[in-house]
Amino acid sequence: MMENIGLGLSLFFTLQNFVAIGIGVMIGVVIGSIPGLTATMAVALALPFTFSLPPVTGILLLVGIYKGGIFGGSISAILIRAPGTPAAACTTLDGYPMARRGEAGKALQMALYASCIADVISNLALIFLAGTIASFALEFGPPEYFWLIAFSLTIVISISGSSLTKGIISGLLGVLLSTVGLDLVYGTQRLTFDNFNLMGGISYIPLLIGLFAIPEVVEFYVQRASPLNVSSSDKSRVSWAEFKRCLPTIVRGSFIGVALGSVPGIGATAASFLSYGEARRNSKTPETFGRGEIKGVAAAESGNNGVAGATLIPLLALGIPGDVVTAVILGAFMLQGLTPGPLMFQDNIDLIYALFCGMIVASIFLFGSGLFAIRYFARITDVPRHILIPLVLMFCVFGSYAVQNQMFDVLIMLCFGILGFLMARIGMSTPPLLIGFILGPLFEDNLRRSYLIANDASVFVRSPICWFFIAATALSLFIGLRKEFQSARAARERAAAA
Amino acid sequence: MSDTSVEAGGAPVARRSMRDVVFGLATAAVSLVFALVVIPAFISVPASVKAAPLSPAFLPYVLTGLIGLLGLVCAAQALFGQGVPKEDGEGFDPASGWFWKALLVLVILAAFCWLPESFGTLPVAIFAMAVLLVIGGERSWMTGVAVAILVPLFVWLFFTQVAQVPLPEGPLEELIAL
Repeated sequence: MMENIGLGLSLFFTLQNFVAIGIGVMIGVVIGSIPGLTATMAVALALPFTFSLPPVTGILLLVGIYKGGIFGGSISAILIRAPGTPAAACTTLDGYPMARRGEAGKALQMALYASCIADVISNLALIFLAGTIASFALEFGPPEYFWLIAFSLTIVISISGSSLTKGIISGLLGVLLSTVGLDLVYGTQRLTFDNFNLMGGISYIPLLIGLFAIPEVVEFYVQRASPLNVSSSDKSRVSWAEFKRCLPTIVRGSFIGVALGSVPGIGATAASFLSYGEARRNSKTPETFGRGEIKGVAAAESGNNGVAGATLIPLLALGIPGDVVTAVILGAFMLQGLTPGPLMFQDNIDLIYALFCGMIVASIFLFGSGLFAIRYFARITDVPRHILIPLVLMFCVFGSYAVQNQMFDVLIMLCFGILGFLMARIGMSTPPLLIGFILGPLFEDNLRRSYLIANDASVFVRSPICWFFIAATALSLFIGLRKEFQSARAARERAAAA
Repeated sequence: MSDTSVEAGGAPVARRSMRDVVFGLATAAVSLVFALVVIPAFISVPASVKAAPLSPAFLPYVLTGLIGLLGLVCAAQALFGQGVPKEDGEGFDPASGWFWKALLVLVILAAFCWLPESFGTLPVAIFAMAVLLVIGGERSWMTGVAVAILVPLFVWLFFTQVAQVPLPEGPLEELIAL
């Protein structure tokens, strides 16, 4: 074993690998911070450059871009409420209110610390638990997935904002919107209104940009007082006390990210919202969440970065890509003549160890690149708002178009921008719509696949994993609703006393 | 399920809201139309469907029903509940002529959907930037012109040259190809 580790180290310690990781992380941070340009897109664009590189260098370049991209999404989420990546949507909930009250620097720093710690934990999970977690993940069939998604959907209660009823309507609307497109089982059209652009469903990036960024743009022009009231002399930093207070949240979020990341198909967005929901549920002051609570930023970022290393667990251990990015990375492996899976641990163990080393180094590079990015990106807040807002709009329009190179996506962004603006006016929270939209297809797909397997509802209680998630869902619903009732009653009593 | 919220400053707000009643009833009405008209017309259900949950229309029907039901709950809460939340929208403090400004922003966004293929993305972006700068309050015409040209140019160059996104160029396509 020591010999293999030695071979892996000698394979890794080359200048080329360090340069690849550095460049990859930096590209990822920049691309990830631009709304519409996702880590997936950046990894896919960089794939051709890996042809001529040695296997370890090429794959580490892609891994660096992936890690940088996931963190980069938080920068624009915090500064301009336009999440650079879908996974960063949850970061806007508290990051943007912090930026509005002049704590953009603090929010960005916490996002970086949470991202790096989660990344390291995720890498360690990959290194030490790849085999165990991957075999556990293999126990998941459609019914188990169904209950896992049902459990994840209960976080809608935590992110409903001031009205639980409207929040749940928003979440259900998100699931309903996710049904648009061709039916996966029968191939028939659903709510496409005979528009071929809708056959593949509604693109989630234009939806995301429309819901979160466009209402801010419109409000800037129609509000008497600018909603983008970010400080131009932001010197706020995370104190040691704040970091200590957030550390349990970061660790919990990291493990949530690792757990969800190791199950193929769930993804970073669900992990960030689940981590956020858990942080709010465990908080003594849940009412501060959504109003600039630093723990909210820590929870969201640790959740989504905890996924980054863990998605490679099913890829390396079983040859199954955990999400779209790892599917592209799988492509890079195959282009190099390598087939990830159990055999790779026998035939190319030196390469596996070299990759593990590279991922740890990538976490360190992420910290350095993040500090650099925060220093310069935070200056965005110094740009006069009447110039910044049209610039944001340009990125929103061009970014939405870039998803599929079609103007229809810009139209989708416009429609969801109007919907987001109206929802804000009637006090309806938009994040539940997004989480419903993202988890909806997984929910329905696994519901129907379970029925296809057994044609009987008993399939939903077939295993201990099902029972575990049924109990977790019931408990989560009970605790969430009870907390909402209690805080509502307390507020009513205060109102009566006043 | 009752809703009451506390303002940022800590003062609780509890009062009935006509807006919630209208919202709840409108949601229930739209759900009803969706269930009775839109779903049957725009979701094809194959005859071979064996169980209800396997039908392509199953989840849309369930969701529409739940949304309609919650709409009624929302209206009932506003009518009979002890308190309803201070709506986020009530923090809305519109500037003079806000409606026309909002409409103009939406027209600019709509222009981005339909004009680039005829006029090219860059000219439309420059025009949009100029209009937005004027309604945003830019007073110096020199700064305005410089920003209106340079910022869209920078964004356009980034997307076309770095990200390799083939933005529609309209009549400028041949010029750019040179």
